[in-house]
Amino acid sequence: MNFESIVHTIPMWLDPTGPESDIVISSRARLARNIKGIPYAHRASEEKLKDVVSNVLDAAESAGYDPANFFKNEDLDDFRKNVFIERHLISPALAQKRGNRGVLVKNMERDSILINEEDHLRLQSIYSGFDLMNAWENVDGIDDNLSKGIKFSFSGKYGYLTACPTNFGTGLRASILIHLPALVLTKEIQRVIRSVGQLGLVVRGYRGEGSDVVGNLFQISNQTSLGKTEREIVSNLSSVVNQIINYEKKAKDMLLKEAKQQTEDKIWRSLGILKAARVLSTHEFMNLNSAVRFGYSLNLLDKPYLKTLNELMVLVQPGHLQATSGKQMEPIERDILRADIVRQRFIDVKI
Amino acid sequence: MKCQICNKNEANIVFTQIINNEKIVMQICSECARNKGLTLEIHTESVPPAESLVGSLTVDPNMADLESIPDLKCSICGLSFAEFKKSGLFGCDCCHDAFGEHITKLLKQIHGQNNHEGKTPEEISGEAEIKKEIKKLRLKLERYIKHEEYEKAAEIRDKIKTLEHEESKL
Repeated sequence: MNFESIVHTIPMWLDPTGPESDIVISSRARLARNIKGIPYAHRASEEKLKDVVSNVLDAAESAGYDPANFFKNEDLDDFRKNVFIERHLISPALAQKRGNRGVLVKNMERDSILINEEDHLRLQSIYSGFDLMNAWENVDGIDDNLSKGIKFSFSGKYGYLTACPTNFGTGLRASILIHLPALVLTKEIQRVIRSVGQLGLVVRGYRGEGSDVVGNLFQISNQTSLGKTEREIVSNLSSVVNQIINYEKKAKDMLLKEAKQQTEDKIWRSLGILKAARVLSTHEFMNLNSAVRFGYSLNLLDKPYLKTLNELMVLVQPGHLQATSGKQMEPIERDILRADIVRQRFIDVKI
Repeated sequence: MKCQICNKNEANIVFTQIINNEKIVMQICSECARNKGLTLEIHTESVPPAESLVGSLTVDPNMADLESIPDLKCSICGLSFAEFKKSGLFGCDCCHDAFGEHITKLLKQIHGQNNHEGKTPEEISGEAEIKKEIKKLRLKLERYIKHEEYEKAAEIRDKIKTLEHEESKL
């Protein structure tokens, strides 16, 4: 698979077929693993890192991965790297590093293996909607398959050993990307964030590295990985997310009861802008997208448009715009192209 | 502590907000504070931001900083405890052994617990047996200590050490 086919494929997790897809965009499970006896990536020689890459690719090939789908960091220019970041396939931390590192992808990007980031391996599965248990079971199976070809660093007492002690034990980080417009509008969100924090979970913005909460999107994940089983970690997070979904639904009902016209007005105006704008920044787009997505959950819009909204969230990011048009673009050029693409996608929506 | 907004940078600012008479306190980083346009309501704490979260947890607050850095080095990869404290990252899969009880304490601080309960790689079931045995012995050890039977406890402790040594060779 070459880079072009990545850009033109829609990642599987953006297809809103999973449970609670109007509120939960995706569920992700990742496992941190290292190869026994090799220094961690930040202390290993290029020679050792190269060994890690070939050891992982061999084991992954036996586990059903195609080594041709390995994208090596140094073969990607900056905007191609951005495409991978925007697809949640590599981290900005990895993008900054040189040498024998990269990502191996499979199943329309549902499964991926990050090689030589902070740990030798980061196995990841992203599922559409609220489907954490399946995402974890899937990545767990990949881990079992890989362990036939790789001897992982493991201690009976501390579990899987990782470069950072915060990942010791299961090495599992489970997270969901959730859209909470009603809780934001009713100003209940701070309360939710605080109580989630007290339960040993973390809330952050759209992308891990993003400092800002954009488009009412939040990532919620477990903070600790040692001392609990994988299943406990996943079901704890799932039950908290279930509760948050209920809060969001209650807040939505309250908005409809107390401020139906104002809420619908906000949604229709947002759709109007998406249908008419000639210049659209990423930030503005994400916020309008959020309002229109909310319109879907209020049954003001048809299902196919939920898919459109999901896809656009990735396709009109700066890296994607530049990669698809094949050139470096000034921010204003990108904002114009973004507006063009968005208008086109909403051309048939009646307002 | 990491920034409660981006969860990436070290939090070096305490951000206090009062909404509807309710006080909300968040630990955030200066980058997020700037992005949020928060310049008036913030006061900077004197925590050096470059110091890693993990590293800072290894400092015993009751001791002077210099004294609290143990002079330990991993014999396999050569990483010193001071380097670990600075970056928050181990150098290899043996460092945690070299730093011994400091890591046991640190893991308890981070995770609230320090014994693995999750999965075991299939191919090292021998290790899993040893792990089970060690776990049993630890429970025994706790019992003996509770009942102040220190001689027996010492015996068990030695057994655990032998098993752990065996395990590390696997």
